[in-house]
Amino acid sequence: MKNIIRWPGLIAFLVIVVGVAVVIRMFAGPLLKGGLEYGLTYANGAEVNIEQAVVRWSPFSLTLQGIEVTDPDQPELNRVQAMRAHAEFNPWDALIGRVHIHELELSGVAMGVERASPGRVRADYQRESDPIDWQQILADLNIDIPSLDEVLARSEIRTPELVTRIEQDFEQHRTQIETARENLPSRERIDGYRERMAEITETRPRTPQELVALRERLDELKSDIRADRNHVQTFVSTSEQAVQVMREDLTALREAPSRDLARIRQLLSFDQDSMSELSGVLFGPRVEQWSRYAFMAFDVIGPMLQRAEDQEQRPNRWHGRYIDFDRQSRPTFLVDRAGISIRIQDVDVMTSWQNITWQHDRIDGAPTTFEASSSATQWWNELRFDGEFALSELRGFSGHQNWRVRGVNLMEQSLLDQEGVSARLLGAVLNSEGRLGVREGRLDGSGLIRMQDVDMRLDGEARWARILSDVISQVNAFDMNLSVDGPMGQPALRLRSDLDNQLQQLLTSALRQEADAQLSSVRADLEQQVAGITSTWEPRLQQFVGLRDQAREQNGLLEELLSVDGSELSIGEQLEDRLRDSLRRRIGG
Amino acid sequence: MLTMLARLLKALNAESSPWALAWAFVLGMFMGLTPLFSLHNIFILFFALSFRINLTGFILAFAVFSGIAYLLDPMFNFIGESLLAASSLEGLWVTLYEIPLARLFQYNQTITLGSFVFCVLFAPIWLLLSHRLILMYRGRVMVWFGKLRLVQIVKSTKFFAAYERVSGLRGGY
Repeated sequence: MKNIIRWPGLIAFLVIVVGVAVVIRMFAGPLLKGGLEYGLTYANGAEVNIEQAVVRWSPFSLTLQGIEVTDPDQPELNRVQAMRAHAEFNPWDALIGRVHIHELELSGVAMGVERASPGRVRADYQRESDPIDWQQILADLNIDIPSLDEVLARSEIRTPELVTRIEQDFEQHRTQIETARENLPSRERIDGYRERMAEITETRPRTPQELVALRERLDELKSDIRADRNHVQTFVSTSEQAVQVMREDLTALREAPSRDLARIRQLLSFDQDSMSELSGVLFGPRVEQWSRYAFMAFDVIGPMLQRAEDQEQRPNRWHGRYIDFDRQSRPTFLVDRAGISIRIQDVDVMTSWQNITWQHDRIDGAPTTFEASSSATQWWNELRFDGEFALSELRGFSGHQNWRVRGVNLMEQSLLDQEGVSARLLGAVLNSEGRLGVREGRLDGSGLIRMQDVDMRLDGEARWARILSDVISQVNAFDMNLSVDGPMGQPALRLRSDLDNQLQQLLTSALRQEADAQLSSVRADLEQQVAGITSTWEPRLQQFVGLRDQAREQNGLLEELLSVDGSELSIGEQLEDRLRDSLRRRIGG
Repeated sequence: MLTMLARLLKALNAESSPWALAWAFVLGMFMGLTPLFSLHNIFILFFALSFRINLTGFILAFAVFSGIAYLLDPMFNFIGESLLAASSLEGLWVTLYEIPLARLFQYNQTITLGSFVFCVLFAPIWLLLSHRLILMYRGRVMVWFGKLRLVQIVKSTKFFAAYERVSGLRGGY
């Protein structure tokens, strides 16, 4: 036996084994801390730090303190952090890869908190979609309010052009009228026609020869009258057309300054497109921050569980694979109940979780459920979040969440500080509710954020910012429609708000008020131009109207003279007796 | 490395028993072919340290078989898969699955089980073969080997100088 056993080797082995056991016993905390940091960093995609891990052996429990989970997309922030986590579980089960925690306590949870130093991001981390870059959106909006001079330069003021054109038209009509007027018969000439007609109609021819001569005189007279009547009718037609055109032109001319000013004011209105994203720029980052808390289940915990599942299922041809002989299909990781205390402001909101696992098929499909509710505090009247999710072979990651918050008192906070513009929310009351669904790992949901008693302030050097700072204080309430879409962990948020419309209207109103003083001088100038031509042409138009009326009267007189027919001429008594005797002889009477 | 090889040659050249060397090769094979961080390797290490086997031979066998293991992993994986998928053994595997100690041995890991079973089956053959080869080396090859021109050249190298230094030491485990 002495020759077979190598005592120094045996003693060395025992020393090593006992030494390792002692090291594990004494340094279990730091060893677990390192292991957990490595595993969680893999699951998270970025550095995870644990300040301290304390192991208690009987009953076996693990307490972690100062947990910081870096946001892989913003390494300067913690995606989530917790002051303390405590769990009791069976260490033997854990050694063989099965963690079953009955009660998990997590306290002091906060999200989006700045780290002391940026966390490292794993080289293999790939974001599934680019987050919204609100700064770039603000730059792309290229908000610009045109100055009055710019607007006047491109406003195409039409009044002066109209004045010139109408003046030319008036001159042309006047020439036409005066030309036609030169051919009008004089009053004496018309009186002469009347006298000649009276003489013809009062003459009593005594013989047929005299009757024929009288008729010839009548035809000659009517021919003279007809020639003059045509001149009169030409004048009437010319003057009627001129009067109508001049009246229309003068009316258009009187309205021209108002129309030009209306066009200028229209150009002074704020571009609707450039305002459509302003509410997103102002409130987008803040809503994203709020959503970290609201969507914690799908933004933090869900993705971590999913990555853990991916890691577990990852095949490796060089390391073989573990074959599961668990006929009871117990999950390898399950937390029956978890109480997660989330710190919001100075209030701890308790959230209750059940069945946290990524193997819901192994617990008969029972989903992970979560619920958070808080009664009235000085910060809000009501907070309520609830939902569930499950990972299954068939449906992938699916679930839903509802939220309702009432009377949240928003304290002073920065909304925007870039591009030389800073905006602050001094105070507001927020109400919101909505629903978020997840199907096969993709989020889809919508909600309404209703802001009341809003007090905002905006400062900036840009002209639009200066004008906006005047009007933004007039906004008292607005709604924001929130839509969520995208992969879990990186949901894309979209905001649509009537705040944009309000700001657009208020800005346009402010812009026009600012321009009104200058526009009044523009109006005075245009009206002066119009007055110059109307004062000249109004009397002339009246003159043309008078001439037209006179011509119409003359036309009436001439038409009346022309209506006398040759058959209407009277014959004398002698001619009448002779004609009767001649007729009697012919009929033998 | 040169020193370690020289020590092996010294052991082969008579100062260790053939069985001590053969067992060292067997235990080195176990540790080299099976995944290193497995519970059973603690027992292999226990045997290697506690019994008078040649440690140099153990370490060199471990190094050589570790390299060979990369080539044989697909075969170990196949053996492990076949055994774990065998319906006749399912009852045994299911029973073992409920025993934490058995799980710590990673019996349900295809390469671990495959390589271990291969080693168990190959160990008697390798033990006898090693023993026979050592005896042959000492009886015939060593004399014939020393006369080779190549060996004469080797004796004039640094390696042989190291061997000479080691030969002056006691032990030779």
